[in-house]
Amino acid sequence: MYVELRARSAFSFLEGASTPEDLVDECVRLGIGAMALVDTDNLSGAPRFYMAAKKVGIRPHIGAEVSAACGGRYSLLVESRLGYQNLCRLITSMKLRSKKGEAKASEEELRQYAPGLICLADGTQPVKKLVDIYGKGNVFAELQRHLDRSEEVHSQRVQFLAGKWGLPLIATNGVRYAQPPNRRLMDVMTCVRHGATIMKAGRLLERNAERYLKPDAAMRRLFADQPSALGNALDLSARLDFTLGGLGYEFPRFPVSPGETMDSLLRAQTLKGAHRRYGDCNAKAYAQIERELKLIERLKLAGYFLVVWDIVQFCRNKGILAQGRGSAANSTVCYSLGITAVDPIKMDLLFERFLSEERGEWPDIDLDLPSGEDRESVIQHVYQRYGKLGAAMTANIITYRTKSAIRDVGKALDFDQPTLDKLSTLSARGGWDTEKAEGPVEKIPEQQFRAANIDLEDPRVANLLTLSREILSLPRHLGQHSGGMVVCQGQLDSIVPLEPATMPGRVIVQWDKEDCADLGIIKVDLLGLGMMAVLKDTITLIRDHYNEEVDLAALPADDPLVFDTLCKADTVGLFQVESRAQMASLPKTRPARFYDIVVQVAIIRPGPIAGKMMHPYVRRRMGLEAPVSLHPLLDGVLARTLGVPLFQEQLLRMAMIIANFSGGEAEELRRAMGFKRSEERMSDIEKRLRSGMNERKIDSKTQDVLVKAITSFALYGFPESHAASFALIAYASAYLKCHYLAAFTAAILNNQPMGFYSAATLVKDAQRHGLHFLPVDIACSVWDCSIQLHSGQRMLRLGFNYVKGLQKRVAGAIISERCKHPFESIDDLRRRVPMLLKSDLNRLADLGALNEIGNEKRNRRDALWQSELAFRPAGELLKGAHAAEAPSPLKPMDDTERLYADFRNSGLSIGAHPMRFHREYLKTLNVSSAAWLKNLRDGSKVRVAGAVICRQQPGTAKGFMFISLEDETGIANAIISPALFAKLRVTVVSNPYLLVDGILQNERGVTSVKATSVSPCPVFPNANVKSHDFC
Amino acid sequence: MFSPILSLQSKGPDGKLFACLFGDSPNLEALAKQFSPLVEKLDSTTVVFSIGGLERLIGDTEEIASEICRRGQKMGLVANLAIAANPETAALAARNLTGVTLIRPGRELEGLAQLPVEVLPATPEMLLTFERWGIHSLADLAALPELGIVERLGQEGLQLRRLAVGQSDSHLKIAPDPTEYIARRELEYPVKLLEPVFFILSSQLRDLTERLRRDGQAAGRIALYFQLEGGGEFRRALELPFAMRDPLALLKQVQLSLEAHPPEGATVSVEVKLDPVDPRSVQGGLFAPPAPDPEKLHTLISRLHALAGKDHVGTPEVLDTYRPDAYRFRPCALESFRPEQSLPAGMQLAIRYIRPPAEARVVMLQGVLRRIRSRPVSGEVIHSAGPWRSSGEWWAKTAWNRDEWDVMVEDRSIHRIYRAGKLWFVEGTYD
Repeated sequence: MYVELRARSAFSFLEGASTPEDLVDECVRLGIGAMALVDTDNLSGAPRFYMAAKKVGIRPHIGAEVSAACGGRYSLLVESRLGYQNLCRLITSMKLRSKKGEAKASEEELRQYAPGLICLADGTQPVKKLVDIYGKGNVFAELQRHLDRSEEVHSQRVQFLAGKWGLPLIATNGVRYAQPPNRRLMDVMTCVRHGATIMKAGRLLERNAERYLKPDAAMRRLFADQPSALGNALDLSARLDFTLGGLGYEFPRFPVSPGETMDSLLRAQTLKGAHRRYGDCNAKAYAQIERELKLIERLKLAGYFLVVWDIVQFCRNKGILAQGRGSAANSTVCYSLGITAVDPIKMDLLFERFLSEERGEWPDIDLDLPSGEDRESVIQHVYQRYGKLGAAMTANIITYRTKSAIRDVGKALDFDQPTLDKLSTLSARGGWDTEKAEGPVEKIPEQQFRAANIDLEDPRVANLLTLSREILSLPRHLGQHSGGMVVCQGQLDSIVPLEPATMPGRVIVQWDKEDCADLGIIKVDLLGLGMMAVLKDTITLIRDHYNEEVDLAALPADDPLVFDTLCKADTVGLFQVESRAQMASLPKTRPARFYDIVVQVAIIRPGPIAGKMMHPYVRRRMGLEAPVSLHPLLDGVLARTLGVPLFQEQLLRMAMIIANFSGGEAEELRRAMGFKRSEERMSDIEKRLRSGMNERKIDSKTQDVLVKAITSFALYGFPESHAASFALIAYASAYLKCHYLAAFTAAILNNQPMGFYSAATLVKDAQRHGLHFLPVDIACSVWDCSIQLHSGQRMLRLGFNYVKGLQKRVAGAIISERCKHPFESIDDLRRRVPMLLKSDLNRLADLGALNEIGNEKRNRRDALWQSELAFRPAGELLKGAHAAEAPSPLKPMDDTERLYADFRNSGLSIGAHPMRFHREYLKTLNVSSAAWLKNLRDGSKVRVAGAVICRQQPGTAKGFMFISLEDETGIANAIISPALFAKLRVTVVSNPYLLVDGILQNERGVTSVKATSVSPCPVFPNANVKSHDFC
Repeated sequence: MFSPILSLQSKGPDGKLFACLFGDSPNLEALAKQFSPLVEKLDSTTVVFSIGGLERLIGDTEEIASEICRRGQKMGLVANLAIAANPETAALAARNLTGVTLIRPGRELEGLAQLPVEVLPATPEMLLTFERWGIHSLADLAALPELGIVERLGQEGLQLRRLAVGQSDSHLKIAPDPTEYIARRELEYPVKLLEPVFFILSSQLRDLTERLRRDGQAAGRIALYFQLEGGGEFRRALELPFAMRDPLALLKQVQLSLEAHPPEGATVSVEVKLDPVDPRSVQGGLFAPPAPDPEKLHTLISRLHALAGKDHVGTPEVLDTYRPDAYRFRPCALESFRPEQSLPAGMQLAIRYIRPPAEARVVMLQGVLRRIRSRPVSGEVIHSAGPWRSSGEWWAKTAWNRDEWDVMVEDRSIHRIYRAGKLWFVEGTYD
């Protein structure tokens, strides 16, 4: 019986054209009982191969083709766990010391990591050397036949060498794709790899389509003269003991003092934390802690919790804000350890959503950290703590998406760039949504291609469509996951190969997070969150400028100002509740307590909107309809969300109540009904659900309703714990903005880009709330925006970080020189800060930052006149003849010019809003200001105008576009129908200022204009306000 | 069409006066040349020319302008006209002021004052500086002190300021007319035979190549234009592979071409035109093997083309593809032969290709070749090796897919046969 011992998958990155799953499926079809996946220089496809093969009972052998420094590749198969560890270390070793894409193993490395590996001698390497490195019993002569005349000479040589060295001969097919038709894609991938077009690739391409998985009979015919070659392959397969099931991964053991165990340490730390969190009298909390600790002990997970606790301790000691998100917030142990900030007892959160005995999976703890340097320091701490080879980021396997597929396949098929651009444009915004399409790519609407003047009858176009479809979702290269880290007891490089990430100082494993989870490798997500950085910076600024200490854990829970702000949708800059959709919903839902924010965070999301949960909740919240009871038994579970099932935890509880599911079973139900539904699992679970409901004596009609509700809502439910964690941050951001506006605004400006709005909009919003801003000043600005006291009032001084193009080190040099003694003149500044470029100086002058340098006061134009001269020294001879002392002939800037200069040089203005300068004129055009809209009647005809600060076309909005127009009074929202958008696309998308006519929708102070026409604003200020577009 | 004169002003004191035409017409230069031989074409839309001294012929400045307009209108031109004491001011005005503008010397700034600074040939950095300074028009720029400008913006700034105030001292840059190498002869009576035509062409080519030689040029292309009896025309162009100026070699090319493609009628006039190119500069290598004279070689190749057809002469080149027997002829190149760095190791069997391949009838039983019958070979197959499979160019109409075998027949001769679809062919015989 034939087994294939040398198959490449698409994880060979452009050197193989089928996924591991496709290869496994083909093995099943052909009755091949074992296959070795031998990708080039990586094991990235191994987990998927293993999982797929395990499912269908095929023996999954692991191996790799390793590039050698002496030339060629070594084809290595793993015989034992030692061999696997050695292969991982070999790949790690060569990758970590090389540039990306240039790794090659040295002979010393090959020798060092040889034990446990079998080498296939294909005649490209000296057999003597292979025997010397791997031992005679571990080298097999490999024969391949692809019906290629030129290969036959080589085959005879391999046979000769096998005889000479007494090596067993094995037959393989050097598989690169599952079936013959995949050869076309292989050819295209070859072109992509070589940067060639298919017409010019010539003999880089395959000679024929023979490198597919062949049936046993075909291989027997091919090797009729060497029947033992197939038998030897089978024997070798039997020798290859190792599978990824025996990985030997262990989570790091947390170091404990003598006499202590990890369990005892976890218990001690948890109880210590619980005492701080709950005091001594909360019996419910302590009972839950006990239950959780026992489960953790049974599952041997204490080390994991301690490792995460250790990271959080590090953050605490370094003053870095860290907060657990996701399902970890359901755990009282996590809360007690300070990993999460949401009290699951108080919030009545369900622990089973986080951890259950039945699940047999590692729990998932995600930590939110301030993005930027703080997060990096935590990551580096983990590297240091567990060693360079003991910890790594998980990979993100970048796969072909529609755009990249069209681009690469199109280039290979020699399409010209303008055509590819057209096709790429079609692929944007779901025009070519092949990822979601079930049918073949040919079913993509033909009119879209015709619109792009692409001839559908052209065979090249047909090839492009077919091959783009085939290449979709195939791996393209390895990237770095945003925050997932894996750690290991001992050396991680013996579990999975490591390689350097593009980012300096980072190491990644070759598996993505799903693969790690499938193989039981635990990961901790260290995620960067801009708002965490804002909160941290705000607290620091409050400490420095308000002399107050703010503890986020001890913020007043029901601050009226916060809720008032939320009810008014005055939420620019606030975490999670600042979007246009949130602003439209907040005045209707009117949050009045913390849990309302939890719901608010969860409900304005694509899932709940698509699941039609939002509108019923909003209507019930507004008292327009009464909550509908699904079943009296469930009323308690759904009471907090007014009868609308919204949270995954509610789903679990529903199953537990109506069908007597255990917590673990309920979680299994949720996962089975997620997006990757399996019919088999679904029907099994539905049976169990109905049987449980029968026990509860729920009639079949109600059962149908409940099953339908559960199955439909399981798709869109949101984790309550996650919403609660985010709601905490949202509340904190609102609290800090309401009470410490200057500090909050400075912090958010210093952490741009983040959030929904540009810095210019944030400044205008803060000004409307009464904050005064001071311009950039060479004499007193620092790098960041800072708070300064003027006439007893806290004002925000813009920092050098808002001078376009000015480098931080140059700003540092300015500040350093300034501290020695103040600058006397622009010339003095130029002389003492030689790294200051002419463009920097001109920008500073244009911004007004040099107006008060030295003793004299000048206007911006005077400063510009002088700064230009500072870079053209006259030299000794003409010093006397210099006209520098002559007054500037330039006219001072007027208000509008100052505004333009501000936007030109810093992207924002602390002066009046650009629209203010034209208000009188706009009044003559009957343009209403944004603030005035709420005074107008619903249904009235209105006209608004302003700077476009946001364009949004959410996937759930059926083609409607939402635009936010800012003027000096606030923000007006406009809704553009798909038909109008199609007609005025260019106008809407390309103009920074728009004038919109339409019908006002005014519902309880939530205003929006349903556009009937859109045109460029007749006053066109030069100040280009940056729009954040989500379309 | 020219619009009416916008302003009428007198000419400058030094008598220098320049007109500029700005428009989208190819005939601007022709119009300018009607008034002056001193014409500079600034770009495809702008022509400046001297009109100094025309007052004696035409009249004062406004009359000159009127005359230019009149002739322009006659030619159907749509253009702006500006007259000023220096070419750059005239160009600035013509490019940016509609209609006819006359700018009196010393009053340039008045004419240009309101133009935006963007009309000046300034770098984006310079324009940004002007924007920062609040300098929007040429008047704004002119108002700045010259010394202040020089100190800050250097010579570039000074030059722009001078342009703004119309103080340019530049001169016209007159480009010489391109020389044409054309000879034409009207025949006294129609000539049917080619021989007399070659005789005329010989003398024409001799004259033209002599002119080329004098000008340090050679011919890159020969264009023939014959008028035929009855009003017909004959045109032929010969692209030369390299620059040539040997009249005999050129004549030979023409002869071969005309003999292969003679005119369809009696010739009444003969015109030959040579396109000038830079001559070849060749230095033979000291150790390079002697090569034939390029002209002679090309003549020989042309003869071969005439004999065998163009597609059958050249240097054979194996194509980079697995498609069997794929080659093409590329034009013969004058490169010295360089053997392959490494020849394939081992013994290579030579095969004699049969072109086109011979159709065959083959008997195959249970995957084994038994018998073959075809024009070049017939008999029982006693040994066979294969199939060798190749396929490719699946993206094109030239896609192929075939299985080939090497077969030994009873007489122990070895042949290559292949199957494409259902058809069998004999492709060649091994030596």
